[in-house]
Order: sequence, then C-alpha cells, then structure tokens
Amino acid sequence: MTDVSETQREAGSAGAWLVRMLVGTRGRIGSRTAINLLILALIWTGLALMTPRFLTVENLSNVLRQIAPIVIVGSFVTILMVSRAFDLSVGGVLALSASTAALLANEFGTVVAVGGAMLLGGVVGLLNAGLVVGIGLNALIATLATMYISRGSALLITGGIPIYQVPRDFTVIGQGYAWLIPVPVLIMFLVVGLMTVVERRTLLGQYAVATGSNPQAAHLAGVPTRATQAILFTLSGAAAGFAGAMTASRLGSGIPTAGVGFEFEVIVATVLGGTSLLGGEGTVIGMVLGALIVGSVNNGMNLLGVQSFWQTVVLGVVLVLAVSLDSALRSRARQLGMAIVRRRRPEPQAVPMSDEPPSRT
Amino acid sequence: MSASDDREAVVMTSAPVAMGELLSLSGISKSYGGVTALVDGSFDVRPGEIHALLGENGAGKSTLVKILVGAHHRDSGTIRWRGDPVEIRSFADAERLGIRLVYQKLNVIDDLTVARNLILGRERSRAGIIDLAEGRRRAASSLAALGIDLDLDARAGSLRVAEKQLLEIARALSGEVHLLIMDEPTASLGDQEVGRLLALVRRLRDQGMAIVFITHKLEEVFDVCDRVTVLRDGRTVGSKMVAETDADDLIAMMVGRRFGHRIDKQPRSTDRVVLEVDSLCADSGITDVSFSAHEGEVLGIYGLLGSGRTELIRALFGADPIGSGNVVVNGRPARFRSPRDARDRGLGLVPEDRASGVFEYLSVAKNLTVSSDDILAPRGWVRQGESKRLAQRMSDTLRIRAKSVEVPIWQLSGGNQQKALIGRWLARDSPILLMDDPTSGIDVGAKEEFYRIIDDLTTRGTTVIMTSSELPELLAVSDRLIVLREGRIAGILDRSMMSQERVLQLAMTDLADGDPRRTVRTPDAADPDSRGVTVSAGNEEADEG
Repeated sequence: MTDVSETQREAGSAGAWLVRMLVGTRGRIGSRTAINLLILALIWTGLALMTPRFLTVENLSNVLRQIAPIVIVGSFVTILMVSRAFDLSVGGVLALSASTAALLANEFGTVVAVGGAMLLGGVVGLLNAGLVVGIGLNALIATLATMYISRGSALLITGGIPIYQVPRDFTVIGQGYAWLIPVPVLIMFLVVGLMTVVERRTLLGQYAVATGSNPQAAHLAGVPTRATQAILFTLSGAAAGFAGAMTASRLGSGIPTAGVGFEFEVIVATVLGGTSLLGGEGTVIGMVLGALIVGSVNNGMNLLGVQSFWQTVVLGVVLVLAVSLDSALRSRARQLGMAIVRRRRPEPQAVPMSDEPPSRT
Repeated sequence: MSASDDREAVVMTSAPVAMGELLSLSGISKSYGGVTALVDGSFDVRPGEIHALLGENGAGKSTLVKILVGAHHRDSGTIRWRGDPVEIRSFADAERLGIRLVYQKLNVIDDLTVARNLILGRERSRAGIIDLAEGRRRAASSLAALGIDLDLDARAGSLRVAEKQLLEIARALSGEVHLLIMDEPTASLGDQEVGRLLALVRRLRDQGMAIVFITHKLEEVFDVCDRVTVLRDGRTVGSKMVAETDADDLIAMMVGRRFGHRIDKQPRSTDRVVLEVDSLCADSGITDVSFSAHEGEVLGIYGLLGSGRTELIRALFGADPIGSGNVVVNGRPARFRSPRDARDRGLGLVPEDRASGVFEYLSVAKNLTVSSDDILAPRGWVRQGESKRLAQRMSDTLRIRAKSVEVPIWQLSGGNQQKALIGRWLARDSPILLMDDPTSGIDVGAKEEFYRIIDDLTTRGTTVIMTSSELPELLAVSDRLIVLREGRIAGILDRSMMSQERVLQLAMTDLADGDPRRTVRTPDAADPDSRGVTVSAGNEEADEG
C-alpha cells in the first residue's frame, strides 16, 4: 500500500510502525486489536513459561468456557456502547433469569426456560431503553437502578434460596459438549460471528457507529438514533437473560445471587477491547480479546496458586496498565498521523471565518 | 510598558478629562492561523460618550474587543490609554486599567443568588468561611449605585433574561471602571427591556464613563450613541458623530465591499413550486414566515445573528418542532417530526456548524452514504459493493480531494468536508437542499468550487435554500433573497431588487420610510434630553414584493 511506504519515508521506522499499527488507513480500531493480540501473546508466553499446565488444549478450553457468558453478553454490550449508551444491569438480569430459568425448567422444560429467560431479559432491556431513550435518564444511573431491581427480584421469586434441582436436558447448554467443544463455547463462537456480521454488514451496526460518533450529526443525517439505542438495549438485556439460563444450566441450579460483578467483567472486557466509553468505536472481536486477556490472567493465577485476594488486585492493575498504554500510544500516533497529513496537504486547516477565534490546540 | 506603570496611570487620573481621548487604537491587526480577522482597526473613545461599533458579521468587531480586554494579543498596532501606549496582555491588565466587558452570552451562575453572583470571585472570608452578610451589603450598595432593582436573595436562574443582563452589567462594574464595552447587549431583549437597559447606559455615560456599544440595530445607534465607528472587512471605515449621519450613510459605510468571486449567474429557476411555507411559527423564534421555493432556484436567506435564519432552516428540516403553520412539499402537506421524515420527503440539510454534520472519525465513504441507508440497505443488510461505488461516484463528482474515500474525514480540509456533506444528499438525489452558512470557514478556492456545485445542482433541478453570513455571496448566488429580522420576514427581494443597501436596511432597521431618523438628523435630535425619550418599537414591516 502506498500509505505504508509514504509513512515510513516521512516518519522514520519506529514512528511509522506506530502509525501503521494505530492509525492505519481505516481509522483506529484495527490497531487496538493488534495491540491486544500482542499483549495476549505476551501473557500466554509468560504463563506458558511459568507453568506447563497453562498451554494445554484442556486448560485453554477451560478459559474459553469461563469467558463464554462474558463474551456472549459483551458482544451486544459492545455495540450498545459503540452507540454511546451503557448497560450496568446485565449482572442483575443474569441473576434474575438464572433463577427464573431454573424454575421454568422444572415446570415446563428446557425450551420454555431458555425462551423465558431471554424474554425476561429483553423486558428489562426494554425498560432500560424506556428510561434512557424515552425519559432521557443517564444510562449509568438508570441501568444501575434496574440492576438492583432485577437482583432484588431474583431474591424475591426464590425467597433467597437456590433452586437445586433442574432436569437433565436443561444442563446441556451449560455443561454439554458438541464434537468435543463445550456447548457454551460453541454458542459463544456463534454469537461472536453473528454480531461481527451485524456490526459490519447491517444497518443496525452502521447506525450504532453513526449515533455514537456524533449523535447530533446522526440525527440530522436522518439516522434513527433513538430506535437504534432502544433496540440495542433490548438485545443486550435478552443476551443477559440467555447468559443467566446458561449459568443456571452450568451450575445445575438457579442461584439468585449469581453474577455479582458480572456487569463489570463485561465492561472490562469491552473497554480493554478498545471500545470507547464515548461511543463511536469498538469491535466485537476486540472485546473477545479483552475477555481473553482477563480470562487468561485469572486462569494463570489460579494455576500458579496465587491467592484469590491478590488476583482481584492484579486484575485492577492489568486494566489500568492496558488502558494507559493504549491512550499513550494512541495520542502519540494521532500526533504523528496529523503531522504526516499536514505535510502531505499544504493547504491550511480550515479556520472559522466568524469572529470566534479558532480553538488553540 | 510594565504593569506597574499602567496601574500608576489609572491612579493618577481622577475626573475624566474634558475632551482628551481615554483610549485610542490605531492600526490594530490580528490574524488567526492564516485567516485575517483585523487588518487596520482604529478608533478612539472619549470619557462620557457612548460610542457605537458597527459592522457586518465578521467585520472584526469582536476581535477588536477581545484585543481590548486582553483575551487576544494584537499582531501589530498601538493602543493608547490616556495618551500613553499600553500593553493589555490579560483580563487582569484590562481590569487594572478600568476596562470591563459585558459579554453577549450571559455568564450568570443560575444556582447562586443575585448577591452571590455579584460578589463572585471577590468574596471576603473570615477563617475560610465566606462572610455572606458583608457580601450581601456590598452587593446591595453596588445595585443601589446603579439604580438597579433586583431581589438580592433571588436565585439568578429565576431572573428574566433582561434582569440577568442587568446583573451582568452590575457585576462588570465593580471597582473603578472607566470604559465599559457591551457586546450586543440588546440582542435578546424585548422592546421595553431595551428601553430600561438603554436608560442605564445613559446614566452611566452621564456619570462620566465611556461606553463602547456594539449593536446590529441602527435605531439604537441613533437613540443612545454619541459617536459611531464602522468596521468593514477588518478595517475601520470611519468614525462619525451620530448627529451628523443617518441610516443610509451608515449602511453605505458598512457595505462597499465588492464580491471577490466572478459568478455568471444563470437563472435555472422554473415555475414549478416545490416548497410552500405558510405562516410558519416555531418556539425557537420563528414568527409567521411564509414563502415558496421553485424547482432549480437558489433561494437565499439573509439575517443578522439572532434573526432566526438557522432556526428557520432547522424547523423546515424537522430538527426543531414547528408550532403552527403549514409546509407543503411538492403539493403534499408535510409535517416533519424528525430529520428522517424530512429526508424521506426529499429534503437534505447541510447544517450550520460543520461539527454537527460530519462524523470526524468515520471514513469519507461512510460520511457520504450515511443518509442513503434506505437505498443501500433496503432490508437491513448493507450492500457493501454498491455502497463503495456510490461513495466513489460522489467523491468523483464533487472532486473531493482525499487520498481515498476510506480515510477518516478529519484528514480533509474544511472545504472538502463540506463537499462531502453536500454529497451525502446528492447521493440520494434530494431535490430540496437546505444549507446553513455552507461557505463559512472554507478557503477561497473551495468557495469557487462550491458555487460551481450549486450551479450544477440547480441545473439538474435541485432547489437550494441557503443562508450565509456573507451578504455579497448571497447576492451573487441567489435568484431571490429572503431577509429575516427578529424571526420574521422583513422582505423578499427578486434578483433585480437586490442590493447590499436594500438588504441591510431590511435586516437592520424597522424604521418606516417616512421616519425622520432615516434622514439627516436635525440639531434638536442631537440634544441628549430629547434623544433619551424614544425607544424605537416600530412593528411596521417593510415588505417588498
């Protein structure tokens, strides 16, 4: 590509590498994925050197199984966050739908249980949409409220006591295998594939990006910004509902206190994966890498026998390191990119002709 | 000159010198990153006078003021204060000299009381605790000194705009003030409130204060001002005693600018009416607007800041709610509840502020195709190939200069970004294009291209409805021109009727033709007492065909 050679000539080799990684020709997203792949490779190499038990098919399959619910819900939350919205309720929805699914499975069977859990989650998502898009509440607060409401409801409908007995066929989606692949992992792959197509090829994905990158411009361009966010809220609720059913299935019981902190695990994976909290950018694949980084670190520390209290601390540190590394690299890349653009295009940047002075940068 | 000298200069003075100049500016220039805002700004202010600063949008008034209060530093020229050259490098410097500015935008803090707003930043405290009683006393005495009647304990947020304006003035007048600059203080006030404000301004003048009064309303110049300085294209055209001039004279000074582009305007307009607007009112400040637009026509909309031109465009596009009135598009009634509705009926919008139009971080291609989703993805699936081809075609048609349509649009120059915004609607052949000040902030070459694009569009039968803050440009491109004033239509001019003088008269004054203030002023009108009586509140509309 001409871009690469030109870049190298102009910015020197180290700078050029950064620009290529971070600015690229298509914006800034592919680049973040590259950094995450690098980080993941480093972590895996380190863990493989520290313990022979890490890099085995069985263990990696464990890692995948652990991150499956995060990735399934994260696939939807990512696109929701790309549209500049936010969902903290998914942990509460997971608990509520896990309990509900266990109850329904005993009464009506697996299909109704899974369907009911997704429906319930979708209803909470619709409620989120109503509060945020309809009434205009802050998404953070509104979904925090619905998180409490759904978590409390889980305790109410179960009386606080886990539902221990579930029919055997219900346990398949959480514990079963299909051609040696754990069912949750298979579902995870399907969801990731589906949502990658949605974000790249469908209007919903395009609308989310447009809405998130500039809500006002999107509105004036005729993008149905409100409907987009409402649909995404509903979908992410339904996904959390499904994750609840899967969790109940994996545990073989409906535990009303399940999924504490789940919403944060989802957000950590999403943000680590390069989704901006301000919307407009982020990819499902990036989120998968984010989840893999967190999952691998957790798993590795377990294998190494690190005390679990320490594991929580390490997780926080990893998050800070990853995000600050990214922001440092990115601002540097933006400067380099700008310098190159400026040199290539000698005409001056547009300056408003009005009385307002241009902003000094 | 050092800051201490400045302070000395202030302290030494006591009563205003009778005829000596308080402030004089000569040859002030200023440019912002290659764009010249001020070439030769010169004027002087005497103590005890109200000095009007007049000029079209972008003439350089605000830049001059910003230099005076130390917000920006001049590139060249001299500022003299009581005859001595001074450097004003910061707000603090200006304040030390006794210069204060009342901004056009109100900076009152709504959640504090009137008293707290008045002493904001000047609170005195005892052991770290603000002495509110003392502050309240100070606030009360400063209001009393100005003869302003406001409830000290009222929340500032509960005040009306006019009261906030008075509060703002009172706040500016703390300490020793010799020169008060007011930037369009009456822009958002009703007639009665304007009267109150002007009375206060007169009182301040009578106390010996010098006042620089920036306004777009000519009748205010004649009502309260003693002298007037006109700026045009960053240069001072001249200063005159108000008593020795009239409206036509001032307008002639303000225009005179020749349009820098050669346009051989071909009329492309047909008889077919594509848009009819009847008695449109909107809460955003549009009152009883009626007009129609023809196929292939360029319909210009001119108005000064606050005239409602942006609001009119937004209301037409469904971006702001419409209160009452009818809009008919291609013979069918239209009531748009969102821009999407407007889009579906064939309208397109290039918004006033480029930042609310472009998606900076998205590719040029995405920016070009975002509004064509119904064409490119009829069942929700985006047809990638077709999407790419459409973007490429638009980019070629409009000659958008980008390395490829895949680069993020922030890498493009302002003019090319603007072309992409037009391309967005061209991509779906929108027959009615609304453009709000589309050439602001783009360079000369890009403007030339823009005019060519407009001509191409109208040749294809597209109707272009556009505003501009540059009147010469509108006169050059428009088939007809709507002049707005305070949310109402002040006149609709055919091409043969258009002249800068005529348009500015409509846009700036609501003086009827027979009004004496339009002609040379009689000596008694210059008398301060008689001058203080009338506040123009004419509702007569000068309507033109």
